[in-house]
Amino acid sequence: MRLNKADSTLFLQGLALLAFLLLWQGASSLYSPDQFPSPLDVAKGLHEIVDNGVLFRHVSVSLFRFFAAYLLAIFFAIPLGLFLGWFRPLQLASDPLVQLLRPISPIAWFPLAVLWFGIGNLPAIFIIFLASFFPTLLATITGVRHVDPIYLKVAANFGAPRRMTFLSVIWPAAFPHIVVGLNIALGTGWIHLVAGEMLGAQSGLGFMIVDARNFLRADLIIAGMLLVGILGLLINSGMRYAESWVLNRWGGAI
Amino acid sequence: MSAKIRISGVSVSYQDGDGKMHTPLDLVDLDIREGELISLLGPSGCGKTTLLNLMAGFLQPDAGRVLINGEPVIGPDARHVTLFQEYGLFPWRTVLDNVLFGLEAQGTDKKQALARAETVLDMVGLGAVAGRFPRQLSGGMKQRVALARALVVEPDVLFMDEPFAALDTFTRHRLQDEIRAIRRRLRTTIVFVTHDFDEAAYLADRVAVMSTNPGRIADIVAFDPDTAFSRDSRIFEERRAHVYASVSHAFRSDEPEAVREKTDKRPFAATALEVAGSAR
Repeated sequence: MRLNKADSTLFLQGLALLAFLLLWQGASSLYSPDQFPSPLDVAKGLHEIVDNGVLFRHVSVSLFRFFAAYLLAIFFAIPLGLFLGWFRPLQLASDPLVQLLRPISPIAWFPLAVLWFGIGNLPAIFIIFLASFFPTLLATITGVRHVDPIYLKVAANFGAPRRMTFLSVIWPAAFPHIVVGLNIALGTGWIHLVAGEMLGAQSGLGFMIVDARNFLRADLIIAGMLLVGILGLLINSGMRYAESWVLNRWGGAI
Repeated sequence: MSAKIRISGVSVSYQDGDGKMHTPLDLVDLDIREGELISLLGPSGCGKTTLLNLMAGFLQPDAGRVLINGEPVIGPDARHVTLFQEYGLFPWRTVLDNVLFGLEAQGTDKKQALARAETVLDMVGLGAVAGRFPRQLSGGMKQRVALARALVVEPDVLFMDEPFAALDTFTRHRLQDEIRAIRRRLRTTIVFVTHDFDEAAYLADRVAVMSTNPGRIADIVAFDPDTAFSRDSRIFEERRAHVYASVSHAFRSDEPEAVREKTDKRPFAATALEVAGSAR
């Protein structure tokens, strides 16, 4: 029997996953389960926290923080990016500042975040906000700056008022770029979720991992890590889907 | 008869990155008549698109004046619509919404705008694809959409910047016939930039042959605008021969003449350069 291409890809991917699990199993047998638990130990640990509802609580808190921060970042970054992209002198003026702030890891903001917001939701939200803000801002500025000049020529030719040029030409023309930025922001935001929760929160997946370490539950540490990966994968593929829809709808305008 | 568009003493020059001066247009004079289709014919780099952009208001001349209906052109104007070779359709808008753009910009009543857009789309044979997006259309259809978008605002002048250059011959011929058909219905003044002899000979009432470096109008070939002819006719052959003769004349004498003209026109600049050179 011959497999078609999609099936054989799936088969190879399954094979790679199996190889990984076997390698993990083999490596873990060299250590005690407290140090390096086997896949089965992790599955058992996962089962335990699913059963007692701990997992659900942490996951929902994490998702809430993540989306709150992400949406907040979009809410500020896109209008600011449109504004800076459109008013070239402002963009030139602010560029050094943006370039200075951008390479500072959001985690470096953490001490300040705790000073300002204490412990709880806010510092984690602040960290994720910063992680999502800059990619969105920069993509929006780029999007506006790269609007095909012919669109502006056409708008000017038909005497489109400024407001209409902005809303009906620049915004939709920049939109595919912005969506790419949103996708990047989603990834960096999610990565910083764990860090934000490890440092200053009493709940969430990041906290769960730190907490498991404090109780020497290596199985739960790995379970937490896997969950971060799986949820990130799901959120990302949702975003990919949205992105391809947008790019398609926009006629591959990018 | 007073000119619809009057171009007088227009020059455009700029300095490139290496400090070399370029003069895409040098002291160009041209009068364009109401309701005629004039073709600006020349090779790439002869400044024909620059000249069109000046008339359309996308550029300002360094010297000279461009008047349309006696008023100086100070910027783009919805009464003078340009068609571009690369269409300039908004990919996120449907065909119908693209055509509605100009009417939206003018704040036309929605119902009325829709009726007008549909009429124009039918006129260019695109009524059936009004709901499609530009990416779903062929190049020829895209240019028809751009044409409909221009015609719907009932422009006084149409500027066409090599609008069919990217299309295959069959499609190009069909669109050229469409331009003729539209001209029978509307007496819009059309300025048509092309590098295609046949296109100029087939469509134009007058052909302004342009030469390169500096860009100037070398010759104007005028035809009888009321003569009807087809692509396989004797008249078309004659017109083509006419245009061809004019172009080959313009370019045979191009090199030496251009050099002579330059030294004639700028004795002062030349002397100043020599002085600067000897001072060093």
